[in-house]
Amino acid sequence: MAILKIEKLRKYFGGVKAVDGVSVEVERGEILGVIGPNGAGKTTFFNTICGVYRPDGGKILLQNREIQGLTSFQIARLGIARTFQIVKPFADMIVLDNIISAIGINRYKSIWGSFRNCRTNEAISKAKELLEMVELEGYEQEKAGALSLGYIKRLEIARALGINPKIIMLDEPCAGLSHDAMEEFIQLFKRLTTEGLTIMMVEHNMPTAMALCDRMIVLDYGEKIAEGKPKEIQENEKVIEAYLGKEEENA
Amino acid sequence: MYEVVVAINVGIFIILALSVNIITGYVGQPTLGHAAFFGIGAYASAILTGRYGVPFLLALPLSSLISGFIGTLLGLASLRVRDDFLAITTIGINFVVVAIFQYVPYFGASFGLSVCPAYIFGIKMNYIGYLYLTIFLILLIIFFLKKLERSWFGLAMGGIRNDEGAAASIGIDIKKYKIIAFILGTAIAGIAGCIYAHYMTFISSVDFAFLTSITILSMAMVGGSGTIRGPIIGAIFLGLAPEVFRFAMEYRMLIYGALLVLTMRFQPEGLLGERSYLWMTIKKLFRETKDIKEIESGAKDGNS
Repeated sequence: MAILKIEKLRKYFGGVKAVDGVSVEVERGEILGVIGPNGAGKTTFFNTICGVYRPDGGKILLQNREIQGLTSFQIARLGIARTFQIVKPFADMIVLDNIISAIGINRYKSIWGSFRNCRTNEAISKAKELLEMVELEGYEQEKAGALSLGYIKRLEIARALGINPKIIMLDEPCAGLSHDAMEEFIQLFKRLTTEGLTIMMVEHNMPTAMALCDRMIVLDYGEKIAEGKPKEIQENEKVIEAYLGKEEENA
Repeated sequence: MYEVVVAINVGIFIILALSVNIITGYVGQPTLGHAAFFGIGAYASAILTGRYGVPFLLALPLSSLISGFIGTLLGLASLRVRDDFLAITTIGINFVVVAIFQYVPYFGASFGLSVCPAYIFGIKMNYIGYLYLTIFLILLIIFFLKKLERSWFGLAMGGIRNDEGAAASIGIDIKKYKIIAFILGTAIAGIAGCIYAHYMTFISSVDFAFLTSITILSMAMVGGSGTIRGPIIGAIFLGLAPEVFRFAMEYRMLIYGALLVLTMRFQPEGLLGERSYLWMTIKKLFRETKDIKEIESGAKDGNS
């Protein structure tokens, strides 16, 4: 059964149809890639699911529960985590606190509860575990803003995992990373799915996307133009057309 | 007596700087009208004790509540406007509040209000009494802020200060925490207002004008916003400056302004901010003496 079902999702900015009737079902434990040329509406698609934008139409069902129209923090509490295309660390806080703040997701529900001490042994050990998972051990006390881009990306993944999500949405997790780091990330994501996590990712780098994704959808001008296994997508004429342009008849 | 008066003044500024720091330092929301809430606390207490015979010890928390209640409105405004627009909104609130004090006869209008002296358990407060009360309240506030910094609330505020989008993505209800931060900051400013009113025995609208807001904010910024030590040191430093530079009376504001500009240029995090030169040096010295002690104790252990 699909963990996340998106039905005819629409998001318009004035006359611009950024997301125009996209439907897709995401299975538990799979890696679904969202690809498409620049300006295809991939990030808007993600932001609409995560509650940054309110959809103009359509439904989003998380385990059969309608979640469209909820705001970001509510959707996060329901178990959808995310990272950002342009990294957003809590720059002036130390790395450890960045992660602990995510672990406290259920503590923010009550005002009085949130006055409790946050640096409990339990929270710290869980944060360290996550930092180890993304290979950031030893950086706990560094300011998050002082890290390099690659490390901030790792930090964001650890932070997203900190809310103990059902689904994690990665917006270009590998952009700007070295080849080795990318390999490590791929291994990490594969391992996470075997533990039952579902991943949706926007990825620009084709080889990475091909290697990583179980299935893909392709967006162009806000519409879904293809869906299928990486191999099928690679050979899909519409996709090639969207990326490379249409062949002239008399060319 | 002169020293006591100066100390009370500085103490009131410490409370104000710590309170504005909750809003600007912890949650990162600019507020340039904090003196309005200082004034609301002062007027509330003056009217409660003077017209309704409320005892001082009850008027203190009540004036804080009233100030915090009006602060909620500012908190709500902060959800609608951001950054520079919020800064201008807060300036506007400051002017509106001062104008109300100045023109509404109920608040004494341009004559100001005389405030009845405070009695605690039937004993009339003298300057020493106010000093002890101020110090006690400062300690209480520091204790509370220490707890706040170590709490989930503290992390939520840090998240909002750094990036609201990212904070929301980990389940932080931004609106709720922003409003509470505004309530806390303005309520504490109300406490300062209450003490100020009774210790001055006379208040008028000019005491709470925009210039006071700027002074309070500068104290937090120069000291190092986002910390507890920063606003305290800033309030002491800038609170004492007018006394120290009394010989240069005419140039007082000039010196004051120059200090501000220099701090912002060379130590934007404030004199005692997390990465400021002074704080790093202090930390390093502290660590070195600790290391030496450890080596010494290690040597002793080795010998025995």
